[in-house]
Amino acid sequence: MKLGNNIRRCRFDKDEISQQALANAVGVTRLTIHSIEKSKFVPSTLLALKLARFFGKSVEDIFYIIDDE
Amino acid sequence: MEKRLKVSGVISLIFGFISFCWLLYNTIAFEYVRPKIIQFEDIGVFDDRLMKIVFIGLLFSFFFHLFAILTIIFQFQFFKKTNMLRIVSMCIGIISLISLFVDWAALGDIGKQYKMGISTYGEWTFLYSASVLHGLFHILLFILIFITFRELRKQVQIEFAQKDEIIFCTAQYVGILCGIIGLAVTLFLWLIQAPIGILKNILIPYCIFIMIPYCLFVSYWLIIKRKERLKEWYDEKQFRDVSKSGLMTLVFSLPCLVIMFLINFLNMSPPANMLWIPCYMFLILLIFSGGTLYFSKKG
Repeated sequence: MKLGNNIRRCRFDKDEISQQALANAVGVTRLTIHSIEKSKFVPSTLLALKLARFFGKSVEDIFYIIDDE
Repeated sequence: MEKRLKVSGVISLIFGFISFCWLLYNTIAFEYVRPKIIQFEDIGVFDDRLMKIVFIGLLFSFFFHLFAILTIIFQFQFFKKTNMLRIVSMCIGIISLISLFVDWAALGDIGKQYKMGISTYGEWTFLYSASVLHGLFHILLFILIFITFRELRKQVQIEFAQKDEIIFCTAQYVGILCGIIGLAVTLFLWLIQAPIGILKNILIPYCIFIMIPYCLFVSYWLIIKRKERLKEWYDEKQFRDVSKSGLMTLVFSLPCLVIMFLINFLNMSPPANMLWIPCYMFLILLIFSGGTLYFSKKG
């Protein structure tokens, strides 16, 4: 199983904010946002909640599970 | 910040120009005086004056190095991208600055040893090697300032980063560079089977010398982080990368430590009795920094 996400889409929906601006808003580095977007890094519950709160959505709207084929 | 970068760049250029002229003058002065000193011929008033100017030039070069390193630090703060040229310049700059003090000591030693009738061959070799290093740093900094001014003219929009990754990544690059240089020097000393007597004299100085850029960079990072709480020093991904790299360092370094122990235990190579510790230290630095950078970039 893998953790997928809609962060990239959410960023563009929210005035096309940059990865750096999002990183500043949730208190991480730009590389961390980049890794989450590429599904290479699984964020902690706290960071997932911070991201959801920033976009004004629920965690499930942003993150979803990709089942193995 | 941009103004500070421009001012320090211009000051560095001015001092750099004077210092570069001094470097050229040094080469000529050394070539003129060296044969006389090596063959213990009489030194005239003119030769003495030539060498005094070399000492005065050291002062300009010292200020150039200070401003140049400051300029590179400002560039690290201003530009939010890691740049290999900047990292290499920083490392060479620090080593070149330390070499200035050794230049000063070597010049003093040459004077004393000439009067005592002792050979000064080693001191001259060092002075020429250090001159090459100073020259390289001058050229690198001129290129760096030229690139910086060109980027500033383009009015590149730079986003502010609340949690900086540049210093974190740069510290790893510096660690890799120091680790490779340290390992290369240690392996060289081991391959040429350097005598124990010489190793005892040079072991600690060369280890400190090579580690200085990394220590200074980490100190700079600590100064920046002093206002933050300990748990805020890294973000969660950086913390994971550092942890994974720490584990990798442990796994890779243990077999190396066993090999070093066996070489020592079986007394296979006398210099290894002393060289195992710098070898281990630089290897750990290389694996840890390389691992952290790899995990950080890999995602």
